[in-house]
Amino acid sequence: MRKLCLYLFAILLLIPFGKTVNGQETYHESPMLTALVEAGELPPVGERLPTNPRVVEPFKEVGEYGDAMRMGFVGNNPGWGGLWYVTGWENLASWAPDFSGAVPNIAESWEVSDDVREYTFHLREGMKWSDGAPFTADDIMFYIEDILFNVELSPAGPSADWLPREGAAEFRAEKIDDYTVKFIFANPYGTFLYTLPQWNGRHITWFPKHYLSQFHADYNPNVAELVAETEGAEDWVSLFNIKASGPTEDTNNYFNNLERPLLFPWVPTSVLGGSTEMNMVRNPYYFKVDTEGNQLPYIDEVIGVSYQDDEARNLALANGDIDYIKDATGREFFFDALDSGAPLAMSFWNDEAGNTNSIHFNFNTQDAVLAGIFQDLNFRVGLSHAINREEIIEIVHQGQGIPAQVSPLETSPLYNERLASQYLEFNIDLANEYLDKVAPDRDSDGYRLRSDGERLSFVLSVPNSEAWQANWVSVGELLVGYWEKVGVEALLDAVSADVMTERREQNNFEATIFTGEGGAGLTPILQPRYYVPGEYDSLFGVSWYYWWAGAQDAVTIEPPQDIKDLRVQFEQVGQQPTQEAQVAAMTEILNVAADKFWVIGISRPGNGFQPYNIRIGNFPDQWIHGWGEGVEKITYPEQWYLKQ
Amino acid sequence: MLKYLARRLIFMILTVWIITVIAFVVIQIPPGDYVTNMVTEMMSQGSDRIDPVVVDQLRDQYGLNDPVYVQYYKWMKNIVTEGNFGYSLTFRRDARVLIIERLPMTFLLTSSSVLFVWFVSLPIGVFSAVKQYSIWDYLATFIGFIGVATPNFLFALILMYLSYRYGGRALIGLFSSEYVNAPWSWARVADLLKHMIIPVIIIGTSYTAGLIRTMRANLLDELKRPYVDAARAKGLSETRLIWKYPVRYALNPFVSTIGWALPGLVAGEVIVSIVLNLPTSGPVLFEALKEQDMYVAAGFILVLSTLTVIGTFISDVLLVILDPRIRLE
Repeated sequence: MRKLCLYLFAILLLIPFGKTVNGQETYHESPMLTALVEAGELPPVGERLPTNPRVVEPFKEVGEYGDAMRMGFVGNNPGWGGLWYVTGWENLASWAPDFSGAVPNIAESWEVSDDVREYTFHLREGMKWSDGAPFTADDIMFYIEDILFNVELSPAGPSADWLPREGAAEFRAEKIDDYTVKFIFANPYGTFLYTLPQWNGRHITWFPKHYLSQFHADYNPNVAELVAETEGAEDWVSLFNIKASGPTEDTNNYFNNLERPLLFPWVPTSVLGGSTEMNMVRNPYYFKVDTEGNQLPYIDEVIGVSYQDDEARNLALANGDIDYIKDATGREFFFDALDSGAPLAMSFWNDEAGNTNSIHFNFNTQDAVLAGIFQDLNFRVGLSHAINREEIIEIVHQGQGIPAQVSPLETSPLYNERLASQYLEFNIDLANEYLDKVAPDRDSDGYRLRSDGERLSFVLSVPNSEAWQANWVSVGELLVGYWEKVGVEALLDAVSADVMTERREQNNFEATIFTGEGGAGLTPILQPRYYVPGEYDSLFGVSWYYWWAGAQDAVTIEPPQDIKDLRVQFEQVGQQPTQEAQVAAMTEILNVAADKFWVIGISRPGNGFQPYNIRIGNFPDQWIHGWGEGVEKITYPEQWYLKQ
Repeated sequence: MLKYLARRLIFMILTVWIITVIAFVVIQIPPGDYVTNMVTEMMSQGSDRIDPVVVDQLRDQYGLNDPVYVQYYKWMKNIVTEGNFGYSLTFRRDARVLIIERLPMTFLLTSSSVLFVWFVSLPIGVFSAVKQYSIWDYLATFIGFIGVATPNFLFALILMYLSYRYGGRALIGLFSSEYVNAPWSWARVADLLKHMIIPVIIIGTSYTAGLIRTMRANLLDELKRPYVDAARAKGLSETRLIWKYPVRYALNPFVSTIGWALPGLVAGEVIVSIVLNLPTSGPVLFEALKEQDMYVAAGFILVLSTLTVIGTFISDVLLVILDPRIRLE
């Protein structure tokens, strides 16, 4: 009986903190915000949250409020240095933590028409920007009508990362009511929902009308005054782009504009400049709660610490000076530090990528004879057989991974065995057999001769200036050695990533090495770079891409008819209404990719590692890591917390 | 004297102008421009849809499609007429603000280093000249040569490692985390001084060694002069003798080094600041050069070269005052 009384008492105690009267939920907030509410500077938490907030289930446990998380990044751009992935990246939809599909985020729900041309999004009633102004359908309509379809802001016609180029001008959006918007596409668009959680979906909920309309000539006739007093603005278009961090500006410029309203968990309160740090504080109007009604994020403040050098950043993390870094390098250093008692924890991620590297031969390279050789399937097959992949894995990847071509992973519904495993065998005789079909004659040094009598030689340009390109030159050096044994001369040219960008635009390279995205789940459809020509990173036909994109500054080459047809066929993958139909259509494309053998791969990536300070709670022990997944965003950083 | 000063002044302005032209042109020589860099950065993160139309638009917006001389003319005109250094494409701010924010720390660091260099090298230099070929002379020479031969960055890494291994934490930056963005207070100054020791030693060491050698050589020359013997014969005390006459003459090249020591220290500061993560101009200048953020880079070079030229000017004037033998023609 006494026990029962105790229980009842306990339940009574709990009531005020859980569900309450009028069927409305009460929410809890950070003590930091409670103080502001009590001081009358903020409305109470119930009024700040939408009526139906997004509920996030904490990965491990309900966290504690408070404290400041310190994040280290290299260089002068806090966003790209890592903060964008942790403190930003909120779109209409987000990925489920296991990458099983897109789930509602800023949108509360959606309906899709049977022909997958019409998408109706329901927004969250009462949702607010970080300055307290309501976020409604008007903000989305402002983006569509006054930015995307404004001839001055988008002089080349409506163009957006999420909008298919084909039929872009016929796209329409309708405001049904304050919280409902309908998107109507010209063609069926079955993969639109998968676009939303990605980087490509960021612009739809990016533009606060109430703030930005003052910089828009259609809304503010006196905009010229603001142009005059803004550094770096020449006309209202550049002023708008600077203030909005879009559409043509780098989205991450928002870290330099403190007054810009956001929908993110943390908002910047100081910019990087005189000191090596910049600060962010929790957004009091953030629209997410945990399963117990605690408004997220748990962490009150984020401090971005700029480092000039990766080593100093690594040392600072091992020191405990900072809590988190993106793109950790120095596997040995961190495991040593872990063993010697540094305040670190280690998480492992599964790489989304289909390969560690892709080797591209520029089919349109300026030397016509060489271009002809590159286009010959036998040439690439021969070179693929000449590669000792086991040795590369041993030397460059510390024994992690298995030999493979660039292809979807075994776990993906798009897995294509032929694409994954063809021409993998390390066999010099077989390699020579294929290469003899292309260039049988050799010179006195043993190198093969081209049809015009010159030595078969090409320059392999390897970008090497970014941290994640660290081992590419080692791969390149090994490749040069393997190919020399079969009479093909490759000259290694290690260049900075910048120079490589320039060479892409000018069609001024012969062969290169790049990444291997497009492995996990449906990413081969969303990131088809190495399976179909006409993508930005389809470097084997980079000038074709610029032709499709209508570039002015870059060299453009019109693709031959069969390539154009293939591109049309690929566009249809995204138009399929169901996932089964998309997979079936993409399988056709992957079969073509297997026939064409666009790029040569090396190996499946091994597990990645992520060191972080032990005081960060709710960080997953395993996760899927990749650009398409939002890198850190799929771990829901708003539910990380700092243990006291 | 006035004529001499005026002539020097005209040369100074000419020098600075030539430096700005060279700097502005050299910054733009590498292939690509700031937009190329921005695209590379977005791509390096994994972004695979960078609309070339947008890229063209950005180049127009930043005026990167103009020829170099037009860009230079606009930049110079704004500096001369409005004191406007242009706009930082990386930081999205007035380049002048950025330069002003970073310069005080840079000069605090370099001037402390110069003082460190003098305070250490002057007495040691005099000492090793007077006690030539003694064990102390050899020791000073030995340490000096190690200082010259060790690259700054390596020395910085070693000190960082030692402070991490034995001090419990690596001394990185100029402030502890609680003081980085705090307003000025005595505690913050004390924190700054604590953090400045390592960088000052690192930046100063290589110059200290050089100056010790110079001082020693000069003084040895002077010590053999007849006037020293004459003074000694007249019964002047050894300490007074050395400090009053030979050291004063030997100081001559010492003063003239202010001119070339400054740019050297600023250059050395870049590497040390990158390794130690100091909020000085070095890392910003370095990044700006890498990212082709040309107004910031050119602005820094302009300001730093102006200051260096002024430094040379001061040392020239000091020399004239110090040594009446120098002719003004």
